Amino acid sequence: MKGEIFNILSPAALKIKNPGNGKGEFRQRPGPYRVGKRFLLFTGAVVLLCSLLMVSRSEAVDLLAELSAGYDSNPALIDPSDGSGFSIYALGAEHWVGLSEDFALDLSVAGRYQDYWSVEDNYRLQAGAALSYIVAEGRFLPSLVGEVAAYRDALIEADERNEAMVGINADWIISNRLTLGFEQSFRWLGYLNWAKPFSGKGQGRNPDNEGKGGKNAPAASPSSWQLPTAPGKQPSGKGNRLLNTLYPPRNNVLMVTGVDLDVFMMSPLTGRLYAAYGDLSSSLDMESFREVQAGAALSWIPADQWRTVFEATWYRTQYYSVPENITRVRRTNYSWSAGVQISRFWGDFELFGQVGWKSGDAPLDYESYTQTVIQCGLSYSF
Amino acid sequence: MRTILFFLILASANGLASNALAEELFLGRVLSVDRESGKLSVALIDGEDNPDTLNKGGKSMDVTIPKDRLPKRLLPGNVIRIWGGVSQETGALNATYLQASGRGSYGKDPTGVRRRIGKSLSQFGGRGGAKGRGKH
Repeated sequence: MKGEIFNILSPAALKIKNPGNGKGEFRQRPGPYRVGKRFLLFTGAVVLLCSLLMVSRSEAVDLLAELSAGYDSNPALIDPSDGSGFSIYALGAEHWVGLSEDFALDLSVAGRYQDYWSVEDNYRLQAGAALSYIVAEGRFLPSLVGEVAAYRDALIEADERNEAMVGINADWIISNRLTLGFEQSFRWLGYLNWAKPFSGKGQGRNPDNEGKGGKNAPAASPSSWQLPTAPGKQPSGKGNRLLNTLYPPRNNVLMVTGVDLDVFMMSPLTGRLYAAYGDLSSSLDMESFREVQAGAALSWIPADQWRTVFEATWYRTQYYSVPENITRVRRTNYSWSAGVQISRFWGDFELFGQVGWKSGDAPLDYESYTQTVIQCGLSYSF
Repeated sequence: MRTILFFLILASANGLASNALAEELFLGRVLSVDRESGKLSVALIDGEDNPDTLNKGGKSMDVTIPKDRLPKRLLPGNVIRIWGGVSQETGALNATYLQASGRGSYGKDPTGVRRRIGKSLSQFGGRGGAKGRGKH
């Protein structure tokens, strides 16, 4: 029963099953069906946006509606890649409650649906809470935070999961020009599908012909253990077999420790430096990793009602529990990302354009990938 | 043509930087907000080494700002950064820009840009947005 509910929730349930192969694979929907669905989604989003305009303002509840469209050169983070146009429909609400002079509670819910035009879709629903306490006359602001989320992805089914997170954040306003932030969180990631090792997005497995397992899939038969290997790589018997076996849905815990420093340089110019350490403990040992992340962001207001933000991040990921006999997996991987966004504000509306770029190592078979995302959209918040 | 364009950009940037450098940065705690008139009352916590404002540390001071530049959620008790200068005539702080502190959509990510970039590019939680087993 539980599985059936998840099936209904999954974007895959919206696709047409191929009755011929009996393996639960999906074929492309006919063109008119996809266009019709996109038209309905777009129309629904516009109607919702218009109806929100008519809702009276509330001091305690903040609402956000966002509609954007763009092109993603590599939705699955693979090489070679298949690009696709996309639309994103997002809604959010935030409610602030002042419990006392020093205590405040922030409650939020948000949903985001990404409709890829030529590959499968994904969406994320989440709800969160943050309990903040004011210390030192507002110069130190610690918060206890929690979040639950559901992520569904019909393109990379191995990534479908439910999440729960608890953590603490703290902001320390050191001076008029500096703020230091700290974050410590623990996130449980409960995956829904059986999957071969390293089937997540950007890990080297092509979703079209590998990695899919389904919710109650048995282990792969010996006849399916042999996979093509990267040029120049020799399969290593048992190690190769381990990589081509379907394993039960993972139960992972991700611990993240992060610090950031905001620097207020000039009124139109604010900088941010950040670093984080992540430790993922996976129920499938070989997928556990430690990751270091460092980055910088620069926010620039070139003119009234305009804002430009540049951001760049570097990652180093180390899979420290890969068995010695598996030679097809690169243990230490690097990736880089950068993005720029330009926004123009008109009251409660924001028109934005964004370009993002990412390049990285995919550990399986020493693959690598690049991704470019271009999008523009309209956001309404009140 | 390119030389003229270069000098125009340089002049604009120079003017922008000069205006920005002429402003002072103050740290204050909000005591009251009047959204209709764009006036705030704040207690100054920290500021530049300006004798006009140093002696007001911890005391109430009036701040004026164009209404459309007021952060959306601004409540008594919030600590804010105020860019501007003190009027010699009124003694009020004429602000050109306010920045709220704290996390969430009204603090470190007022325009949602980090959230959007994070959704498409980040690998795990923390500084970006998305979370996952590996890459999401």
